[in-house]
Amino acid sequence: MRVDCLASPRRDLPALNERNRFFWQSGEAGVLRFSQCNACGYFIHPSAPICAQCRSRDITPAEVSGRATVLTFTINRHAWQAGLEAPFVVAIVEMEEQEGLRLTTNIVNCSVEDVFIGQSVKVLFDHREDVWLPLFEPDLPSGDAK
Amino acid sequence: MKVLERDACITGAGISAIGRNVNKPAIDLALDSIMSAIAHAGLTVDDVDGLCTNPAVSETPGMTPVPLRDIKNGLGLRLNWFASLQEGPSTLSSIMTAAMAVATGQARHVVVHRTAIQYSMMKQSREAPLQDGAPARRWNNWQGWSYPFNALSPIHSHAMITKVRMHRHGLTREQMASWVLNARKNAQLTPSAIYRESLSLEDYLSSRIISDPLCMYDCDAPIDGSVSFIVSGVAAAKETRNRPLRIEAMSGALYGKDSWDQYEDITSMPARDVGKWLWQRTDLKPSDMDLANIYDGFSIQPIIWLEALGFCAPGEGGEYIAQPGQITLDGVCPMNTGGGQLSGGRLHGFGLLRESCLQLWGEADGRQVKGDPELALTSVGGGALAGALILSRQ
Repeated sequence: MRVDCLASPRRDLPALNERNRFFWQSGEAGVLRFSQCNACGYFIHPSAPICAQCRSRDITPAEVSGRATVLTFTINRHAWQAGLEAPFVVAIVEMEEQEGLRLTTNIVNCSVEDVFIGQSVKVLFDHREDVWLPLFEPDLPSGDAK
Repeated sequence: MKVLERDACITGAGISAIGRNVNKPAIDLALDSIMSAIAHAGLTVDDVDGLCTNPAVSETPGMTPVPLRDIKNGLGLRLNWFASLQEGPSTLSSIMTAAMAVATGQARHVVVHRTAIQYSMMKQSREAPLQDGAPARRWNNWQGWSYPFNALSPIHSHAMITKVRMHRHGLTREQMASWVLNARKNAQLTPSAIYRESLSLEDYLSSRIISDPLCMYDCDAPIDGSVSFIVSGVAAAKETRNRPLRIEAMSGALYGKDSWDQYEDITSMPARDVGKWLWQRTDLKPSDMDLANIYDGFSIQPIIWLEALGFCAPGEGGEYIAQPGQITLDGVCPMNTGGGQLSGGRLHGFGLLRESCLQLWGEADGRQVKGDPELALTSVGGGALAGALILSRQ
């Protein structure tokens, strides 16, 4: 069954602050960015002013490919709030740039039954208020019809 | 290594009315459990010189409704030491911190309470839903990384852990059911448990899926209630009525990221670290335990915990719990003897710890583990939260 998650109500959004604003608003430019250590290249998420690998303080947001793999997922069947339609997929995806660099997200633009562990996915953004939520959809080889 | 927590004991335990029809303000629930714990230890309020709880505050409605100040001032306590804790290794961090306070001589008898009114608050919010067109609620902390994706319950994290374990280890719903049904059987022998009707494998397998693969019976239920303990120093414990339950070892280790989705191994979560550090603090082994009360807010958690604590090898938790005669009341190591949280109600681990104490004191009535048990392991927490301790009556 296909439910268009992009139309789901989202009554809960992140509180923005100086550390996370770039992350939640990167999607305005159509790209996903994470904090990255300029000394060793390690991506730090959630963003922090120090690198947990090399303890450098030289950290800036850096654009990533937006390609990821489904590490695990669940098909939610329960309508938790008025207006929230089930089913929908909640997933943890791992970005291709770094093992362990993960996002909790939704997989959209496919049937809930078509999501699988190990699936290649790519980012798209769902704009709500002042936030661009990074969601993911199947990353089909170019030329394939959806 | 000198294991200083062995200078700390649990000397009393108390509980308020618990459930979904309690209809009492949170402060009264807290006072009910505190006064019953003090009386159970054979002490008076004037003997109490320490006070502790966790968490101090929470964004989750009803999670921690009683400020420590209301108890200090309400009871007119004269405290040598107190703490309301926030970022600790599960709610057990209050017991562990109280143990450190008595072991260092900062206090003699510490009251530790855990009070929640999650059921009342949930009911209230259901009756007053958010209005259409209102701006979204905004969240900090871990909620800010999951709620925007309508991952509105910890069930989503636990469902995803279950899914990846089914994928990698071949975990089955039938194996998980063996934990759930055992808890329910024990709850039928436990008067305070909230779910006591009989439950069959067919009931479990055909019940409503909330977030696949977890069904209704894989989740504990919010209730209102309070549980309190008295944590005493070994010397001060001699003044109390019960046989002291010494803390043999305790652990709240965390060697990875404090995060629900960034912790390196999502199949183990920090329970793995807690297990490693726990067994470095004692010569005892998992096979020495006479019983265990293992956190089961969701039925996947005991599987994670039993592997982390070395009761079985990583990936074999499902097979372990499903083995006949293993976790049952008359089994090799009886587990969640009071119905756990799944059938006993969500007391955030304090119900489990109280059950371990009752078993060691021989006060568990119709569900008393045979053979005069002396050693009990209690583990608390799921996701990024984990803590465990071993109590000894020896």
